[in-house]
Amino acid sequence: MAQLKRKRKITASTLQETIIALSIIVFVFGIALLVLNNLMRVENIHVQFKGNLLVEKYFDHVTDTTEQHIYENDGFVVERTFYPHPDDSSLMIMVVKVFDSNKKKIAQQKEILFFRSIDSRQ
Amino acid sequence: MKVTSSVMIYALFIMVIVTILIGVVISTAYYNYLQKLTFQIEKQLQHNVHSGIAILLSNKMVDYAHPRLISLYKEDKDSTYLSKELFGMFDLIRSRSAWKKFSYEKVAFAGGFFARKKTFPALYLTNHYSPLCLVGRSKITGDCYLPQKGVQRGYIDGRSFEGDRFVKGKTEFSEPSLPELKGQYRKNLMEEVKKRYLQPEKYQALNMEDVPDEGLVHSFCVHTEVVYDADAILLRNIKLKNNIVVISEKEVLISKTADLMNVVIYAPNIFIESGFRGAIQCFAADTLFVGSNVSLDFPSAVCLMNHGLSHISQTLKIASGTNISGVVCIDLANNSGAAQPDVYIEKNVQVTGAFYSNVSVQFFGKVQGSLYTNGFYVKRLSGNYINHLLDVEINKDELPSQFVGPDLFVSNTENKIMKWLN
Repeated sequence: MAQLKRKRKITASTLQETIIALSIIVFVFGIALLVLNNLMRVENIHVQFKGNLLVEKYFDHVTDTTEQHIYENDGFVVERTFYPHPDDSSLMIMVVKVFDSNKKKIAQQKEILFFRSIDSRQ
Repeated sequence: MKVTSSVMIYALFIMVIVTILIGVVISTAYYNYLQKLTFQIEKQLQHNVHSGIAILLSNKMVDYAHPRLISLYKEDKDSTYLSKELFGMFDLIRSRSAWKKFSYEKVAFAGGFFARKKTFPALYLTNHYSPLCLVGRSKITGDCYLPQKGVQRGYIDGRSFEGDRFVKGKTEFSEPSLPELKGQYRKNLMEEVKKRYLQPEKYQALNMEDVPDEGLVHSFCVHTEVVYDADAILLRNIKLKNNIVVISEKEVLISKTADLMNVVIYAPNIFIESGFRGAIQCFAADTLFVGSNVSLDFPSAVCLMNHGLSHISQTLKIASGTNISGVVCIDLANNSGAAQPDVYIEKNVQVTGAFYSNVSVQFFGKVQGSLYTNGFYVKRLSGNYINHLLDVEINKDELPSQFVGPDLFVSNTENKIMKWLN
């Protein structure tokens, strides 16, 4: 008798309500799946952040402005290139690019250097 | 037991929970993205500003009083505002980059006078057909431009030259006149100052009574603060700091209790009390007295300059024990009617940087850097000793390697940062 009392039965009010409820649950989970899937597909923000930090690191300590330099750092490839400035021969444009392991560019920064005063950066 | 319940309520409950979870995930991703974007933009603006500083230091693309808005790479978010102006004797360079609500700015003094530059000699003495005579413990280290009659031993008060070499460095013949200062400096001082700073539409000049008791601490990122008085100004127990110009039409007295930094002072007569310490630029048209044991820290300037008419004997005196790091400059018009200017630098005065005088000076101090003059003299009861140096030391090699001062002569040479101002 006591066992029977503990036995509970959940019954829907109507069939129509049950169908609607199921549809809502399926829809909501579907949206959640879609959002999560998209967020996972978007480039990893942390990877991008690290790429940006690497760019900054390779802006400092410039001693040789004569050629292209390629460095490997923690799975990233950093490319540092110097171009002459079109309007002033005493200036150079330094471009630092960071690529991930799939050779995809994840960060880039440019700066003009006065090559006789590289130490002018604070 | 039969529990009758609406399935819809459960479904809505699950929906709310899942929606909240999705909201949290989306907003976290969004704020991460915003943070990354902010970091990227701020860094890009900083690189733009440093690029602007490099362009300003190269000294070819931006002129005085002609600021430019430059697109650095002809791309998005790379517009940078560049300007160069004179603040006293120093070039004030400014680079600012902004994008939407973000902005970044750097302001600095820049100069083209530094130790490694070979174009600056230890001594430039104009060629007026009398030799340079060294007496006592005089010592010259560095390359020199000297009169054709060269350098020789001199005698004053029974003393002769006590060193082993006259000049430790190469010597070349000098020209009959000094290299000319930049055009911007060679003007009627007070007229030029009033024309520049007393413009109500540009500067709202404060009177000395309007200056708060605690003083003024200003910034180089905004317009210059001008303090003007037609009468004499006494700077005592006052703090004035950054981007402030003090102008008096009579005289300025600087007490040792004044706390002054990056301030320019213009007046016909300026007096600095003994024991004062600060970083100031003083421009006097007639008289400038610097007391003893004054310390004018880098970057400072002590200038007696006037290319207008003057009917009095213009005087610059720097008393013993004073140290000046920056520039001492005497540039006076050749007024045939006026009395001979009197420039007297006492013993134990040390100038680190450049000393320039287009009139003859009585010099007994020490220069770590370069000294340019039209002549020296030593006044004694027995007479005037022309082009004599008594116990004077001039040493270009002792100029600190990191020292940067203003290039007094040419406007378009490469520059370096003298001092960051923000």
